[in-house]
Amino acid sequence: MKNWKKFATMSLAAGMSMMLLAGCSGSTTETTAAPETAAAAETEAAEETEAAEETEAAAESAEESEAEAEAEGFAEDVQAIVDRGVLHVGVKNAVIGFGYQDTLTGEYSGMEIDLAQKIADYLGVDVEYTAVTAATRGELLDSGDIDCVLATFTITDARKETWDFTTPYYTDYVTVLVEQSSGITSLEGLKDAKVGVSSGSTSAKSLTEAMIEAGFISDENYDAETFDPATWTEGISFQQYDDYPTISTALSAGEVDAFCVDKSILAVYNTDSRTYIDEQFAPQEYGIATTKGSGFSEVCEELITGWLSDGTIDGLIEEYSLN
Amino acid sequence: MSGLLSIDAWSKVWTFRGTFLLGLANTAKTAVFGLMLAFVLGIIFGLMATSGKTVFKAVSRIYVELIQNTPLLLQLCFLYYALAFAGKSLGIQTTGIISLGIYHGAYMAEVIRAGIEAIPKGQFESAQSQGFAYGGMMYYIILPQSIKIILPPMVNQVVNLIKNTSCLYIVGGADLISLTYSFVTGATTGGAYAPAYIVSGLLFFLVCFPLSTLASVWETSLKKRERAMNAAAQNPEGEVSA
Repeated sequence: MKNWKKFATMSLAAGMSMMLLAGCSGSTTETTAAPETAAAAETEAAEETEAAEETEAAAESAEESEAEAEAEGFAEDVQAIVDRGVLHVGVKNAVIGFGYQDTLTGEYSGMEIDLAQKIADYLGVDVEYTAVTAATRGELLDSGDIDCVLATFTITDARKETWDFTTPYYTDYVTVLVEQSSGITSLEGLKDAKVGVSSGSTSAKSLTEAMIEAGFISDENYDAETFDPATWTEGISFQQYDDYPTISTALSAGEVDAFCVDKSILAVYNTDSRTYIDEQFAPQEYGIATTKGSGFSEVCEELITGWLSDGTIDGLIEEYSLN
Repeated sequence: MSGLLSIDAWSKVWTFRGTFLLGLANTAKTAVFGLMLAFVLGIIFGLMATSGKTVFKAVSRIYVELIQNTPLLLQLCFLYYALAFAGKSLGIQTTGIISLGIYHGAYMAEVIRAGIEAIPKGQFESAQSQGFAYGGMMYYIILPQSIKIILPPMVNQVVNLIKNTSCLYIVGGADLISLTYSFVTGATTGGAYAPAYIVSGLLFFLVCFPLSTLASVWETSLKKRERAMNAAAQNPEGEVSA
């Protein structure tokens, strides 16, 4: 009896401290103008000498656009970014053409990198990239570690409920990469195959839907709302991985029969011994994700629509040969 | 989103309860087979270490030191990728069972060695003088005495092994931790971070807590019985009543 009481008290205490923690994380997401954040950002920038130099170089233009910005009257959260002087952007670091970090120089390049730079230029602030994965980008955005995500982030209705997305700046397709030796050439060949996908990506769902549409698997138990790659085993099964290189290894090792993700990403892993299947499906639109209802969402939206109509984005697609 | 108290988040976890149960089943399967391997290895190498034969002792020592002084993750990745690139992949789960078995086998061997070495030398000598062979001596004399010494650290290893199934995450496993992670980050399932991790933790707790409780109850009862036996031995007439 006594033991039981003790146990109950302990679990209660544990539960309460967890609630406290959750409360904390919730409040940091909302208060974007926290002075600590600005201070932290400054130290971070100072650590990166390269970034610091850039700041100096951009100081003049920054002052100008800062004045501009104030005149325009930014929303509170956007003003916080301007005051902080650094825009934190979540980008991919291994997707050539979108977000790619040179391992030797540490320099980022790609279409999304350029877009992020342009947004920062517009705000008159410095830009700082954080490498994110399909799995971490949402968490980092929620926690306020980054202001926006430009990381081949597919716009979905479910995600729209959680985050704000801009008009898409790029449309990608999902396809499947297989080892030539497997003899798989089309969707039909993927029947009963085990497919490697990235945790947090929409690829598994898209592939399942494409298989259902093509009539290779039954849609009897399929429910778009409750589909989970982990538990789906009818006609096709999935193995979820945290990053793309691991899936590529698993494909080489025969752990999975196919590697399914966006074509723009698969391009990196398409070696001589591998091939795409014939079909490509599920057009995916990439947009900039920002905190739901923030003023920064509107800024990004305005910028993207502007760049779409004046051909800036078409130019970038051309530049990185993404078409 | 910051939803420990959000009903939506909790109901999402409930909707996808199959995912958590699948993860638990995979973790349980990996743990059970891993444990069997660890027990076998632990007993073999533990007995080798206490056999008094130099060669056996050396082999056991090398195994234990090699495994105990390198990280489990390294052993797991080594086994997985070495086999994968040799074209002989065993599958993630089997690789996990083997590496967990080998890793915890080393700790079990140490636990068993320590348990046997804690028994006074006189026990071995008197057993031998009574004509017990090695097997009989171990089974009837030594192991019954060492079991209460072995038990607590042994259960510790069992619980650790169950929790260590989470290492499979690194090679893309389908254990409870990996699936929880995929769940909270999933395109259709994502978002319910706090409830998902709490549920996942609760499932681990529900498996591990009864185990450690069982062990401490068992240990206490063994100790009590021994005390009773000692008391009886000291007072053969049974004058002292508990």
